[in-house]
This record gives sequence, C-alpha cells and structure tokens, in this order.
Amino acid sequence: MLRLNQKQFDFIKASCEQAYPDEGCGVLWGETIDGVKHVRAVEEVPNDSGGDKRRRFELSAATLFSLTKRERTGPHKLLGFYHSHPDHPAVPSSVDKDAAWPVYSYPIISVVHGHTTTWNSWVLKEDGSGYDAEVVEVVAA
Amino acid sequence: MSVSVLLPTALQRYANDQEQLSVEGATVGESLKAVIEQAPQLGKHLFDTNGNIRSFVNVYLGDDDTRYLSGNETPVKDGDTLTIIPSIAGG
Repeated sequence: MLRLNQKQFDFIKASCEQAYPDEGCGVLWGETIDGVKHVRAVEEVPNDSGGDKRRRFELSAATLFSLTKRERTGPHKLLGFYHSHPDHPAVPSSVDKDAAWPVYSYPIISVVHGHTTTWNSWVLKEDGSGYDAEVVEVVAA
Repeated sequence: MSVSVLLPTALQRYANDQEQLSVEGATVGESLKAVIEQAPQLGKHLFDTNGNIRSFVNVYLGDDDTRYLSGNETPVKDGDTLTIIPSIAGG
C-alpha cells in the first residue's frame, strides 16, 4: 500500500499538468512501515529523455546518482517514481516495464488536455512479467 | 583489489538485504561478476542473457559514470567504491 497526503498528491498533479504536453516525472521519498509505504516528501525531477518527451521520460544517470547519494545520507528512502501519460491512460506501457524494478511504486497520472483525469500506482511483479495495481490511500494533509 | 559495491534499495532484497558488498576484482566487470558470486539472485537484474551489463543499469566508480570511463574494463584499485544505480525511464 502507498500512503500519501492530499498536499503531496496535489503537488504530483500540478507537476504533471505543468509538464503537459510532455511527460512529467518525480520522486517519492519516505519510509516503509509494516509493508505500507508512507510518503514523506515528493520532488519533481527533470525529464531527461533524449527522445520524444511527449511519449518518454527518463531520469538521467547523474540525477539518479545524486538521488542515491541523498538516500544514503538522508532520512528518507526512495519509495517510487511518478510520471504522467499525456493524453493516454494511467496504465503502464510496454516501455515502462522494460526499465521498471520490483520494490518501487510507479504512480502514473493521466493528463488529458492539460488536466489530470485518472491516476493509478503500480508495482512490478517479482518475475517482471507485468504489474500489480497498488492500493493507494490519500489522507488529509 | 578489494572494492565496495553499494546496492540500490531496489536490489538489496536479492542480496540478503545488504546495502553494501565487499568483493575482489581488478576491473569494474570483474567486480560485478564477483557480486553475482556472492548474491546470485542479482544476476538477472544486472546482466543480460549474453552476460553484458543491462542497459538499464548504471555503474559509478566513485563519482564517475563508468560509461564515460572504460565501462566494464575500467580498472579499480583497492578501496574503490562502485555504486549500482537502476535506470528509471519509461513512456
């Protein structure tokens, strides 16, 4: 289960809507307690895809290295990575699966004509064959 | 050469929840192979079926991306630290 508050969720929506028509992306920081991922902070990061940013997102190796160093020294763990699907459903694409990892949560936000419509969070199956939908709880800020 | 290898959160579960492994190797590639010997379950996540490091895996030597050094052939020295970083990308 992924638990975040309304303010964090609003941040993610705004981040993805501002990125439209490109894909927006960012990081979920927090801690896992008894199997529940508690989001403590949300951070937007640049979409460094060298391809069509309307259909692709990527965090650069340098960005990931920096995030990893912060994870090691800071109070929070990397819980997952959100990204948007401009004018497409909030379900993982085949491209998403290629670079996904177990453990992380992958919220996908569908932004249609600049506005968030639906969103879901996904976790890669252990065997990499697909995704499981993740239960998400949005609590008051 | 004794090298420390830092594992990302996403992969620690395949190494008995260890954050860091200590291995012997003269190059980045040798060190990563040694990682797999210690934690075989990491193999499929780090290497493709041809034995090459997956394109979705970044390896840093100290503060340097080994892709911009000599990749797997990059020499390592005693006390060096390798950091394995999973790519995050999609569509």
